[in-house]
Amino acid sequence: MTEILVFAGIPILVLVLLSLLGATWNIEEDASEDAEEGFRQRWPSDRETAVCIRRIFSPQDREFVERQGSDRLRQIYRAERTRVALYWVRRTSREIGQIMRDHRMASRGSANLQVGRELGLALRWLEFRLICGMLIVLIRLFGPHALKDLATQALEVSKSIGRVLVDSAPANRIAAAGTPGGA
Amino acid sequence: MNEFAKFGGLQSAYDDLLRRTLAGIPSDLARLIYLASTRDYNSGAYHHEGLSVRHRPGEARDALQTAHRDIFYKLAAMSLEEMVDELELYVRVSREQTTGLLRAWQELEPYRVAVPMEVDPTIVRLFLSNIRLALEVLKHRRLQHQGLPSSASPLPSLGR
Repeated sequence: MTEILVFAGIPILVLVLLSLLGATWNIEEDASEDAEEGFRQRWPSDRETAVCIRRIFSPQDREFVERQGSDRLRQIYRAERTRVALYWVRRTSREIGQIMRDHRMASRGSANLQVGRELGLALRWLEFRLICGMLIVLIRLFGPHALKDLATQALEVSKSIGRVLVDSAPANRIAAAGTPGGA
Repeated sequence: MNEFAKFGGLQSAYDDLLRRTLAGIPSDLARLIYLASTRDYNSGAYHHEGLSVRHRPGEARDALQTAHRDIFYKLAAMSLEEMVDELELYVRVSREQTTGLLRAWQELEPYRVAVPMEVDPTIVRLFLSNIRLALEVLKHRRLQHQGLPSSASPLPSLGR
């Protein structure tokens, strides 16, 4: 019984920790970045951003640096790319977190809340946070290049959350406006 | 109709800018720096004397801003190898001493002011990071070419 609890408990604990990591690791480190840049919001599905993310995680630049034959360059390259990759993960996590908070506030006044869709959204949100947590840990451990697929998946999940929320926003607003005490 | 005319005016100013001014500048990095120099440091507003004479001031301003962003995104999407080539070309046509230019760029980071406003912050980070890396690559190549012992000499391998 104890073994079962241990075997079942450890993965759950790891998942919860990763989820929390995806949402909170950035708080202390990103305070200055927030002050520096504010929230210049642009939707992550912009074509330029997608090209940029692929570039961060692409091995092409690493191969070019390898060809230069300098360990110092390799180290600088890895440090630079890791920094950019971590920044992207934290920023994306923060932006989607803000969108989810806004959605939660809007949903409170909604009269036609669809439980199935909200549940699906919550699961996607949990998946997204897990992916972000894993990305942060793995980028720190192995560098960004081993993670292209996971980063692409995070981008896709963040887009799908955005699509669901964009589709549901007008309905929620109308419902909330028609509800006593609604916005 | 008005909207179409407005768009047509902006397109005309943009084409004019590309054809008359930017086509004469030999590299995208130099174009980026040129376009950034047409922006007022205090207000962030763009101004180009010739373009404003030939087009409405608003259209000229928007054309400069659009061109600035386009060139920036083009550079940010480049591979590191392409960025190194861009920087090498920029150094060559700048008529400055290569060593001095590389040193000034590494210490002062003047390329930071070449970033347009209201662009994605992740792309800004990637662009700045690529410039820093390209500078390191050029410095490394230069020292190798001169046969000098450099800080780019092999270090003990880490985890390899």
